[in-house]
Amino acid sequence: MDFADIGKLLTDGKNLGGLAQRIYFGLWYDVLTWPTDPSGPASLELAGAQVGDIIMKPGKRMFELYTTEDAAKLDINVIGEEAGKGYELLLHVFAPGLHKKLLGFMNATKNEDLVFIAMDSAGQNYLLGCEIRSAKFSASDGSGTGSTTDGRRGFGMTFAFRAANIYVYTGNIPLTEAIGSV
Amino acid sequence: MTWTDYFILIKVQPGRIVTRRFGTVDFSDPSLPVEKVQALFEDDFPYLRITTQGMETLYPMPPLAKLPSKKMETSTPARKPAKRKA
Repeated sequence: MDFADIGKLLTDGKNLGGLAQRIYFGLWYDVLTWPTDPSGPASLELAGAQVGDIIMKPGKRMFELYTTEDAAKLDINVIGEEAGKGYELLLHVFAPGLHKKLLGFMNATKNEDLVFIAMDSAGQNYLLGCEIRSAKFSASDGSGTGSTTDGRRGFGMTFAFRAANIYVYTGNIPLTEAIGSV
Repeated sequence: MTWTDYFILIKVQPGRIVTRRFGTVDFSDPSLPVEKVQALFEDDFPYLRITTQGMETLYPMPPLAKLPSKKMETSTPARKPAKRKA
């Protein structure tokens, strides 16, 4: 791969922080095929994006999770020792309310293998999950009723995913059931 | 004519897909603009296949141009006179 100069590269000067208010999730073992990581990319740009779509198994789909504005973020941390470095993506989400559906989601996913797709304010998607590793519920932050009437009632969740490299997901997100045979 | 005359949704039930280009698109809606679906198709969207009617209407083949008729050579070209050896 040839290295290249890296300029400011902001499209029309846009660079808002934060995540969109919709996070997409599914069960890791419901995924039929995964996008592929770049192999021997010719440029830095190609080295930063996966190719292809996440395709679900027949009868399965991805789902949408609402998050409060300015309460979701994606942290990208470097992990590992010298010559063994990788990344840990931490997806923080705050779902308002303590309704039964949300509690059911927490109960069902706390020990589950998951996959997430989060979109940032620039419209760029990040996939948490790959063929060999899932995203996991790792912590709850700020969950509960809040202590004052102007506090926040709801569920703060953190999901973690570790990977060798970090990429932009350039595919589509199916919110409708897949059909066909495996 | 609706987009479903020109394209078939494949691999998934009709419903919502978050697309890279247009955000969430509901493919159970027959009133989606054909241009929008066509743009997705041209983006290599993996959930669309074009119909024969779509191919004929949206990507018509230009009629083959008539080739100019070439006259057959009837006479043999004049031969160059052979060089005499000195």
